[in-house]
Amino acid sequence: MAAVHREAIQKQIQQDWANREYIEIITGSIKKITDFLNSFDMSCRSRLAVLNEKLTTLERRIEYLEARVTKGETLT
Amino acid sequence: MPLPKRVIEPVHVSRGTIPEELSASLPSELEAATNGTLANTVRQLSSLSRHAEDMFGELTREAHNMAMRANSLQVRLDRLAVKVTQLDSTIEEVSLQDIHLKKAFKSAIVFDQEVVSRSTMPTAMLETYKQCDKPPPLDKLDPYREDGKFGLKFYTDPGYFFDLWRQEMLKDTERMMHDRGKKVRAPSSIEPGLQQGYMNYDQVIYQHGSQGGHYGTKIGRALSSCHYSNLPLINFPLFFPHCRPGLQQGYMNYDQVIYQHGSQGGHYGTGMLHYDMNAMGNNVNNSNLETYTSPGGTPNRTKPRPSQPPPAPPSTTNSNNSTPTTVSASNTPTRARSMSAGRDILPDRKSRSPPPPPPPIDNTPPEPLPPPPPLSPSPPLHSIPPPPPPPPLPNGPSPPLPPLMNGDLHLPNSTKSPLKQGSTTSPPKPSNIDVRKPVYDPRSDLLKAIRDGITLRKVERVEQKEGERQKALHDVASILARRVAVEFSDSDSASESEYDSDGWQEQETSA
Repeated sequence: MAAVHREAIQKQIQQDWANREYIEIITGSIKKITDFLNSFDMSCRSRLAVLNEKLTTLERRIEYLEARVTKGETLT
Repeated sequence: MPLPKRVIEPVHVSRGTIPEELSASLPSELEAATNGTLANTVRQLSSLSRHAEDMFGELTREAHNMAMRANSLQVRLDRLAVKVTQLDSTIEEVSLQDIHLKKAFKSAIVFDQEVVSRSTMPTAMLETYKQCDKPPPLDKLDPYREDGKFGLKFYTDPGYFFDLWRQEMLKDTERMMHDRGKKVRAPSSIEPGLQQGYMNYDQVIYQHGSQGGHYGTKIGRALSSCHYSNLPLINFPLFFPHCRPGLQQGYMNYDQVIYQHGSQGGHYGTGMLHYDMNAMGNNVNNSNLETYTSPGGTPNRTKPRPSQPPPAPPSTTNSNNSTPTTVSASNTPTRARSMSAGRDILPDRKSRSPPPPPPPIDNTPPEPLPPPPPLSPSPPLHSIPPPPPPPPLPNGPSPPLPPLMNGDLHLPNSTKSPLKQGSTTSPPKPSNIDVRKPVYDPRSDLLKAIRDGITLRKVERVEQKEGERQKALHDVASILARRVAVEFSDSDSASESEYDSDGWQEQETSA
């Protein structure tokens, strides 16, 4: 009787360990997703920042060119 | 302490998964813990998806803005390309009138500012901030405050440091402008009297210029404060150190006349403008600049001479004659130049009102030099119309008196001049100024152009100033821009003064 009871407990513990491993996999996947999202975010932002810098430079240049070419009609 | 931008919750997946009240009756605690952990994991996933959605939303918004900017840039580029292809340097004419009518290019670039303020905080972080405890509702007590202050600001004031910085910057700017004004007043080697005269003259010119040109903005403000108070007649003569005493006197008188007239009739401002306008019309900018620079060059000479008549006779031959009579030989060469400059200015007036302005000034100058003796020529003048009583002259009361006489003669409008000298054709002083306006209006397109430009620019400036003032209260960029502008103008004014002094030295040497 005692042996049967011990066996049941061991089974439960084994099952619990299997569940914990399963949960570990799930949380690990969530971490991976999070890491990917973070890296994706950082990469996108850095690229956008570079693009933004270039756009700003271009805007300044065009502003300068417009000022050079303007005949006084830009002022509202 | 680094603040996490996004926190995925719940952080501890397995904690508290077994409710205590059910712990006794649970068939299997291990299963309960597993189920609770799985549930928390699902919550984590939902939180993750929410953050991901927010993150993608931000990226999309940013990319969209960038696409908009790129599109507008493309449009501008296309427009610019068309414009450049149509651009032909051979066809383009740069007429003086157009230049004055044209409006200055205005940059439309908006600079980012307050990049890390509450309004630009990412939403995920804003949520974290929202979890903070709110300050006690001290603002509810505002109605009971007698000093009108915001009670909450005594507890917490997010704008405190910005206000501190803003006040400091504004004070700095004001101080710099003040210093700049002082610098302009007291250029290194010039005497105080000369400086005053210099200032006044600048004001006269710059009042005009402020409406049409750039000078007004730079120095006009600084000068304006002390202008009228310091107006003593003597100052004006100082402007033209090179001119003969007689001319100087005449100049002084003229100013006095205008000044007095203005004070009496309230037209002082208009009179000054007239004078400037005339000068501008005849001499364009050069004559003014010359006269402007001259005072710095001959500080010593100017003292003995009471004043030079700004409106000198048009003929240069007269100036030559007059030069020998000048007080000091050294002055003579410079005088000739200054005389020419002064004449240039004056002729405008004379030519407008009186038909022939002969160069009688030459005769007069020697007389004014000795204050008492010259009375012989001047007496008729005195007898004629009562010239405006010259304001108290601080430096030399004696010289100014005779100059007044001469000045009256010199004044184109004054009727006295004909009596003594044919050159000075002057109706009554007050009436003269008014009469002139209509006369010289049609004269030159240049004058018209200048006037138009003046009016247009002045309007712009007023609007800009108002806008800037309003902005200055809240805008970092505008405060900084103003400061930079002040610094630049400061350096400009310094360079100008240097340039002027240099020019003056050159004149001396050449003379």
